[in-house]
Amino acid sequence: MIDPLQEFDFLESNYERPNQEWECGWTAQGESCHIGPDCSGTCQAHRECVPYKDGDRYKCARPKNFGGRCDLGPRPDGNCSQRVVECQPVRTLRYRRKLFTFTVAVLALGSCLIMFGGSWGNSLTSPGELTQQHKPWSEKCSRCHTAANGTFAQWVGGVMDPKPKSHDSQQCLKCHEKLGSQPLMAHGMESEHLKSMRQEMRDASEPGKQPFVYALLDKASRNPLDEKNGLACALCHQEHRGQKFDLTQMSNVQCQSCHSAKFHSFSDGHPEFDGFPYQRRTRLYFDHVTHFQVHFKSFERVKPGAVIPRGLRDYGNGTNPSAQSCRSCHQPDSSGRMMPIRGFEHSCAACHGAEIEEDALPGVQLLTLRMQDSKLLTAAGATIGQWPTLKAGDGAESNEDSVLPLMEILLSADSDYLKARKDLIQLRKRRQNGSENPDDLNAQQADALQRKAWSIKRLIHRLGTGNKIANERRLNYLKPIFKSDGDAALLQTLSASLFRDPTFLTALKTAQKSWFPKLDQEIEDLNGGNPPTYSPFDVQPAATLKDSSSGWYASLPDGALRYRVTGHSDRLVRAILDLAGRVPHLIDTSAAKSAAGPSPFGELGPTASFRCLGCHTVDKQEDGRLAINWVGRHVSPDSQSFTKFSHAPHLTLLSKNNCSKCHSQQKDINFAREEFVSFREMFRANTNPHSTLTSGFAPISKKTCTECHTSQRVGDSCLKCHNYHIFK
Amino acid sequence: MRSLAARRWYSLGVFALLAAVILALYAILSFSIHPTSFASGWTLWGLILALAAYNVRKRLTFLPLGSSSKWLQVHIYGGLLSFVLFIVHVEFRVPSGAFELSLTLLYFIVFFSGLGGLAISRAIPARLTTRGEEVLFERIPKFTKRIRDDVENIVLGCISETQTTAIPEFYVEHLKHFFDGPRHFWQHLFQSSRPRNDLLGEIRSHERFLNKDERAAVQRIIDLICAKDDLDHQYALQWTLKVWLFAHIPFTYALVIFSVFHLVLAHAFAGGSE
Repeated sequence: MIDPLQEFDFLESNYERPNQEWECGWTAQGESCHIGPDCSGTCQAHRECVPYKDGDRYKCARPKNFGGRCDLGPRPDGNCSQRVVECQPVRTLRYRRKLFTFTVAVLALGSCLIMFGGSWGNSLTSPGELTQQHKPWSEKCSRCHTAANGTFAQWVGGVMDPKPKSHDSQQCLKCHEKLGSQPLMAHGMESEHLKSMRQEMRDASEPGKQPFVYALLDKASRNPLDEKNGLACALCHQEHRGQKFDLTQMSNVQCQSCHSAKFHSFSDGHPEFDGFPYQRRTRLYFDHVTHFQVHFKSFERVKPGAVIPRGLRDYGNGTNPSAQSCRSCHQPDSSGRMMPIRGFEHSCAACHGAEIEEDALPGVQLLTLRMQDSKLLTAAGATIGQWPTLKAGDGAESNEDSVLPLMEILLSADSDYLKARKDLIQLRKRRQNGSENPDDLNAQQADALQRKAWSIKRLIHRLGTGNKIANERRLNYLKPIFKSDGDAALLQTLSASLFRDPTFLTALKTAQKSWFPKLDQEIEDLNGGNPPTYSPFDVQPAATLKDSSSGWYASLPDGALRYRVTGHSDRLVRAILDLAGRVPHLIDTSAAKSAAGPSPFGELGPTASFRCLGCHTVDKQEDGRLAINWVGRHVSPDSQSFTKFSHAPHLTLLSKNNCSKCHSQQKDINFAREEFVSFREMFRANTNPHSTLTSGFAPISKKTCTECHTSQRVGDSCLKCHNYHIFK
Repeated sequence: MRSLAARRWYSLGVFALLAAVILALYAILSFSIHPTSFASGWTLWGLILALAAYNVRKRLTFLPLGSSSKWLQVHIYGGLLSFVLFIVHVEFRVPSGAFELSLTLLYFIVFFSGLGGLAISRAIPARLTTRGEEVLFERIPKFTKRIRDDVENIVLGCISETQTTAIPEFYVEHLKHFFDGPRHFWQHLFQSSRPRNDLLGEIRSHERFLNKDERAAVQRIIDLICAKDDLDHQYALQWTLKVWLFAHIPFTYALVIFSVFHLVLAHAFAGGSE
């Protein structure tokens, strides 16, 4: 055993100062002095003590724990006689730690300044790799971040500034431009519209049913609809998470954080489908039920020589199971989303092709001379020159006050007609209402009818002269009205037909010769200020001219210039009908916007109603124009709605011919027979696309989908069936 | 006054409660489309500053800011809480990008050095009492020298008294290095007595060749070897107690500096998502 090393009494124990910056250089050797270095690190222990004077003698002052009084004692001059070997003081451990701390802090600050100040700092400060599609701009932060053009001081100022900042989403929209007119608002929709939808959903949802967490979140989080500047793209699309990161990923709960009707999962709480996918009327009148139950079982009714669709040949007797597939008429489109109809020729022509081409019905009217007031005009003293006496009309064409839509367009270039039009419209309305005696004309009305008659004559005269420049000028009048590309195409088609089709000019000249034999003279007299007096005469059918089976022809006794279709998808008839759908809107806006107003198509004659609009429905658009659905449902790649569905993966998973798994027939409905007949007989088109007319299938229920779409099976993510960005 | 165990349970309970609140808030807020990283980031930054303030508190002893032991308790459990916040902030993924990785690395250095320091400061003081004499760290060189001087006096005494050179030769060959300074650091840190036993075994293997006086001298040398070994044990443990702060404190400042830049960068480049 040895004695304890450490003493703690005052005389034996030295006072340690580890918190000072310097310590004696001999400390490591265990030979430190009791004086120690000064604060600048200089050894100040030259001698072992500083003797003190006691009376007239100097005495040793060496501490006891360093040996006490020495034997030699102080020198006579008062200096210590024991010299100390000077040391090189060293830093204390504490001070070395402080120094290391300072060094590390300076290095950290320097590293940050280099990273943020250097032009090559982008790659260092970038929080991660960009996705594959954005990778080309990895080194160009300013492409997406406006802050990249600012200074560090501006960034700091931005953090301190409590005002809401404009975000970088505009940078995103420079490339992602097809996101609608309000791409940054929630769902790209008007905030007010979305709020009203939200309120509707809130009212419809069952209180107390939503999960507790969502209810809590609803109260705790900000409402995205209140964001005045819209929602930043970066809220959902989080970049810098690697090349393979899915930028569009969004959890179900994130969707529900904003939605009013909150629920646990698709199978538990999701609202039942509301008539999906038949929220609107089908674009083509087609009764699947009747076709399945009646027509497809009796193909002997098909006309001899007709081509039976390949897939339907054996449908009736069931000898070829594949022939019973819906794919006989419907095929997936290139994207696999829709199952569009394969087209008239493939799906319908076998039975309905002959109907289109049969010539039992008259063609579509372009011009009519019907003007019931011609006799009254004489009594009123009007002068309209020669005017043929026409045979009585029938059906839609019997309304002699009416003006054909296309005729209205062509007459609109005549200043005389424009002056009379207002009076003509009022006269027509009064007679329709029964408030006007048809046999009574005042001077103003007689003048309007006279102007109309001369406008028709001038039109026929001008069209008949073949003055191409003048005729095309008439159509130029329409250009400011028909602004969109589709309208321009319609005008081009009509122009080409009227002025380049030899059958049109032949028919027109024949009509002019028969109806107005002295038209050239009459127009000359009119221009000379001497309009000829009214002189009615009977029109005799031309012995050598028969109604054409296709193309333009003049129906002389009827006073009509008509066009007969050359087959299905006749471009001219489509153009005429499309223009007719726009004319009411142009002529009289208030009348056109009245749903109960007369159909402009009926005035074109039975061809339009029986042959074209018998299958193709008409939708009234927001601006009042009537748009004909020439094709079935198709999804434009430039538009996106809330709900999405792709047939392709379902065709792969389900049996190819088992479409009835989802599309079950609605056998108990009387389909749209009533509406069908109404149009054919009353010439009134149903222009409401949201009416309930369906194609004979029952709406799909949620249960059909939840059989597979669960979190355990094929997934029930919101984004599987819904889009966030809505745009047209 | 609560007992140590009760105090520890109380602190653990508060920590667990706060951690649960943080995780629950994260779970709820992550349902929203608004990112949680800004809320968690500001909270974490505030907590880091508060933790760093403990070092400042130790310097401001004259201010009535609560006892240092309470500050230490808050520092420890706050540090543990910062890890929960950090994990929430990075959303349970490894950050990418040089700057963010550096920041993460700094955080881990500070956190794990703190965790290590906590373990050290809990384990070592108890071990210091188990062997030898408890001495001030700054005095260890002086005591080492005193022991070395004692040993050398014994060895020199052997030459003059016994006229043999066996012990001096043995000292020069086997013991001088041992007595010259602190030795066997890692062995002492990991509580290994093997170097001491090896040295003693070496001496004892030579003991049978010595005469009576030499044996008496050897016995005194053995005592001094044990004293020196205990001193080395004290040195190793006390040095460790002091040196772990070399990792914890300097990198805390680096972490604060990096986090300020990160904060500015995150806001400037948030793209409006904040």
